[in-house]
Amino acid sequence: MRRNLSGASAALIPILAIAMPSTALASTTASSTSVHPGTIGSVWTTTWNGVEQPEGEDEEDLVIIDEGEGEEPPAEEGGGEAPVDAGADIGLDLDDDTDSGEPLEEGGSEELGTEEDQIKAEKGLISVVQRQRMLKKKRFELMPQFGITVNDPYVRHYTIGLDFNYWLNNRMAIGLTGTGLIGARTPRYDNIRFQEGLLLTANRTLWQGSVNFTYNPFYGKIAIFNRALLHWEGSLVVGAGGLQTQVIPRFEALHEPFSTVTGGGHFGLVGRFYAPKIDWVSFNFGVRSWVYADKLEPINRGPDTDIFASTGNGDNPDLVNPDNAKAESDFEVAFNVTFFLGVSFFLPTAFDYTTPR
Amino acid sequence: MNTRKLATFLAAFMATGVGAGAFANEAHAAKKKGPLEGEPIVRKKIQLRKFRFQLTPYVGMSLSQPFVHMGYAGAKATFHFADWIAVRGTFGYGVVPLESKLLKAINGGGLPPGYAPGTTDPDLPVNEDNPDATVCQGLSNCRNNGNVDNPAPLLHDFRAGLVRAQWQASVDAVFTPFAGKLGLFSAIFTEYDIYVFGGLGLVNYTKHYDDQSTSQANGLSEDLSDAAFCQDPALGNAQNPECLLHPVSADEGVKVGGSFGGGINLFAGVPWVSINFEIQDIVNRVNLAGLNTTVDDVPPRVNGSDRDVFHNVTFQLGARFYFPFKAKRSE
Repeated sequence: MRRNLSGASAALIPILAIAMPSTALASTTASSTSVHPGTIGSVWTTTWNGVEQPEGEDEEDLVIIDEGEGEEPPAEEGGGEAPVDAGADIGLDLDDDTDSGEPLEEGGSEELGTEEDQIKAEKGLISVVQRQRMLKKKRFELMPQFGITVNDPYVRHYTIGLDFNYWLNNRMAIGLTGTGLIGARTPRYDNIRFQEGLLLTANRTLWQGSVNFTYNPFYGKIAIFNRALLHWEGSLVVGAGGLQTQVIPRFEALHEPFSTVTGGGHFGLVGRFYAPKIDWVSFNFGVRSWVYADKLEPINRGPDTDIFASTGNGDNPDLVNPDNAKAESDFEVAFNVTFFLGVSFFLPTAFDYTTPR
Repeated sequence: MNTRKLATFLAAFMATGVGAGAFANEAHAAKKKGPLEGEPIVRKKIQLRKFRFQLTPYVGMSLSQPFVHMGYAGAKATFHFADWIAVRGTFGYGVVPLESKLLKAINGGGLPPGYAPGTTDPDLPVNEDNPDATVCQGLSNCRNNGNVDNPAPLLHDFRAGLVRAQWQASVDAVFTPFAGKLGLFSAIFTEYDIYVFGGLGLVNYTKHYDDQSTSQANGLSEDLSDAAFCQDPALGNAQNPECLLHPVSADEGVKVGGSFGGGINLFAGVPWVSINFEIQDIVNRVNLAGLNTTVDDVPPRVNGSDRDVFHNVTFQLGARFYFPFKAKRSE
């Protein structure tokens, strides 16, 4: 957790200390907090990675990242009072003379009689340290997805899959992935056949299934035209499992394909974007790269079988049988890189913050 | 009857519209404007791009070439009129050509090489009565008897037509709607932005090999309207079968197309340099192998209809430098 406070923020530390006698101050001081003199009255400003700005440009500094959300609150020091209710807002009222320090319900459930009261309440919703947008700890995630393979110019797969994850904490998850693939030769394959008179050896993948481990080290915000803020996270995923491939016969009119069930591993990246007010959905994109052992169609499986018996050259007639062809083929390393889009649904659909705002 | 229906519909529509309008007005009257409504979400935001010139030397590699992968070195020059919009020019020159696995397979026996001029066909026994009958005439390799039925061109004809993307350039409008902060392992925090771009792209294709086609080597006419079309003096003015059936025309030159893509800048702790990752796709029409693809021209010819849409996708990694070094802040 890293928080740099300044300006109005600096003036708020005593307020926070009053409102949260133990937890807030402890969590603030436990981090690499740095307090800079600044301009009272600015709402908040961005920081430049801790690099001090010259005098006159020091309307610094605030990193609005709270990595500690979702974790257990720090231990009480000196037997302090229990933390305030999870999810409650600690009001940050910029009108110093009217500051009451009273928490406000998120969404403003108080009776707001006058416009002045409403403005005051909305100002109270301005927080110095924003909480992490989505907490995933002890939640299930179901992510239907569809994608396209991008690494093979000769066979293109369209994929439909489902990820099922259980988040051990906000950073790590274990899960299962199942993907069905629909593969077909690309125009590039046919182009080479027409131009060079060559028939390429290629396989299509039928399905993939794996057990995964997800680690979520990236967290960020995106300002969209500086008018809207979107939170996102990035995950690294590794997994291992099985898949089935099928050869695309070079001479489809003559030969039946054979399939191979094999094993492999994968690694990838997943980005999750969270909608502003929905606690159970994220919109995702990702890249998953499988590395596996695969059997390709033997090169001497073809129509020129006449001279094989006499010379040993040409195509082996025994390989017309797909089982024989499969037995003749050796395993080779293959890759399958899929770019996918998905939507995650989190269960339970709501979560509670364990640290105060 | 129809008139009554129409009148009923219009009345219902108007009633609904009036009702909705009244409701909207009522809702509008009830809603009070908040103090932050319409305000930027970040004040005093450091404007890392606005009115700054950016120079990005980069290295790149092609991702989609079937025959010759290319490593590029180049630069991009960008100027942002606002934090979110810019124009730029790019240029990358191919400095490291790498032959693909497919091209290596073609060179390694995928296409028949034929037999050399002045030598006899290895697939045929020597004719004692006429030893010159199977000697390859002319100045280019000849097709051996075992490959007469092979629809593939001879290797030297393929090599004569093969082109590679030697350099590429583009002029683009750059759109940067996303900018923010990124935390990595709770230890590294940096500014970043994500952008997309689109514009005009140019790709210059040059021959990958110096090989000459059968027609070029033997000085044969490839003009269909010419009476001497593919007539080979070395064959007694008979038509050379390679010239006739496997025409070659390397599709060299600059091809114009569309350029689009996206990228990300990760600032390196200071506001005047960032690490730039980018995927660029320049789409144009080209015939990479310079061979005939279509089946509706008899005899086969290489022309514009043999070109197909091709995506020159490159991944680029660069360091982006911002001028002036200091960025201003928003209000």
